Amino acid sequence: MTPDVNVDLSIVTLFWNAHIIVKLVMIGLVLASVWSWAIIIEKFFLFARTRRETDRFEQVFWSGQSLDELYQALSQRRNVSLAAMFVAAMREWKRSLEQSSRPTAGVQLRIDKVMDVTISREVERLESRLSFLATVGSTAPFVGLFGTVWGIMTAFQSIAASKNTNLAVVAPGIAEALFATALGLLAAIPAVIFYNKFNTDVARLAARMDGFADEFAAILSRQIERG
Amino acid sequence: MGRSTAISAALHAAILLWILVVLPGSSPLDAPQIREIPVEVLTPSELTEIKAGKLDEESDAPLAAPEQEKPVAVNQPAPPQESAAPPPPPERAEPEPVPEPEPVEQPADDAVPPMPEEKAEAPAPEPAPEPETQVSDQPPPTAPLRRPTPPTEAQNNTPSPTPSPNTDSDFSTDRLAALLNKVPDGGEQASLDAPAENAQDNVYGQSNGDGLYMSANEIDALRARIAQCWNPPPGGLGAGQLIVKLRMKLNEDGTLVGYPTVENSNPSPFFRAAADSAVRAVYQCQPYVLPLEKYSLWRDLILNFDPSDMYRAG
Repeated sequence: MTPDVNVDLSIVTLFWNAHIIVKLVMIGLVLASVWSWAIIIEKFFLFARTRRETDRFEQVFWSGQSLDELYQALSQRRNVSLAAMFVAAMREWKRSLEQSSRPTAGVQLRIDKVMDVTISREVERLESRLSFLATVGSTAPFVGLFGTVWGIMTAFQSIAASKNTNLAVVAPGIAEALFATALGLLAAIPAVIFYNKFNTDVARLAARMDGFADEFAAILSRQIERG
Repeated sequence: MGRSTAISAALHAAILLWILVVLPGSSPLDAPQIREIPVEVLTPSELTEIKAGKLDEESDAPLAAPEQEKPVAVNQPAPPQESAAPPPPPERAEPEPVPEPEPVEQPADDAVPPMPEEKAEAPAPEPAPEPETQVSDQPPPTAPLRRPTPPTEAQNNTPSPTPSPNTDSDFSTDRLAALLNKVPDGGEQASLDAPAENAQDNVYGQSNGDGLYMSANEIDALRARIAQCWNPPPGGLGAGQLIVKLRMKLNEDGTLVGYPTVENSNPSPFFRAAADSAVRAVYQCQPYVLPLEKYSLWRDLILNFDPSDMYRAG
């Protein structure tokens, strides 16, 4: 009774021989992997663009250019992060000046509010879909483990059915079961790594926007008091 | 987002494709081939028959080319599966000790090769294998005649032109062939076409590839010794079919290394008892006296314990 050593254990056979539930788990994990990589690619370019535009805006802003001219130039286009905050604050400032010739302390309060709202909107845009990465990172191993447990259950049932503890009876089932865990880890590991990286990036950008908001509020406050 | 999804899907598809192409499947593990020695229990009468050899036994070796009148087939006792005798040139009567390796595959070709060096000392082997010499370290009588066979050739049982007795070859070579051919159980195993990969059919005179042979006598001695120690369990239903395949490793002094492992399995409730009895037998019999220079051959052995012989004999 020599076990057939030529059992085909290629990936495709492993998949096709798997139990339907294990198959569903595998398909779900592959889809999760596809979607999380889509998010990762999307976020990667978004963060790179945001950082680049923030750098450029800071350079222009501190170059001594007139704020009115800068506002004129920027208000026409769609802005992100610091530029969006600047445009929002300037718009509120202009509107206040139209109503009363002399700016009051209430103007500053309103500008602060507007900038806060812009910051939270920007952060939300940066953070969107990152929660999916977190979910995949924490649950995909468990989903894969579920597939593995199910596959091993099937393997043991086949042992019981054939009344034979030969390794050849058990091996394919266990291999297909472990394949589910491998897929789970394959989906989870990049998701966790990039979730942590993007979280740090969002925090860094938010801190930068907070700092800019404080500085810009100080400039406007000086302007208001000067009259 | 749509573009990122497309990129991601394409990446996954590429990786999947790569896996399908590059990893076509696990290559089967090639376990080292281990010689198997069947342990069968023989009745004393069978044993004596084997030891003595039957003089009237017809030589059924297909080694002798029937169409040639002069040449006579001589089966060397030690490696029973080889050495057909090619037609010797009759004029060369002086023995030439230098063996000639002829890597010829087909027996048909054997008739043709020009064999300048022919040896005439083939009749040297004593006709009946003596039990005393079985375990001895001394190589079989015709050892000097044995050609340095490439291992694959030896396993293919290719007959090759080797010694042939041409001096008074009518003397007793027929009888000699018959005797030597009667190596225990080796009649059909000595046939030309025994597939080399079938380890069970090829237990006698095994080669491990470096020119060493486990002679049939040595295997027989080991078999007999284990059979003495073996006390098969009293039979249950179908107990006669409970063949236990035991793998054991030996030290150079003939003692066991570790615990012998049972290589096969069987759902029968009596299998455990049968396996235990086989393990006990192997334990009781140690140390095994085997030629030290062939240690590489018997370092790792597989024994087949087949109780059906015991019941038949009993």
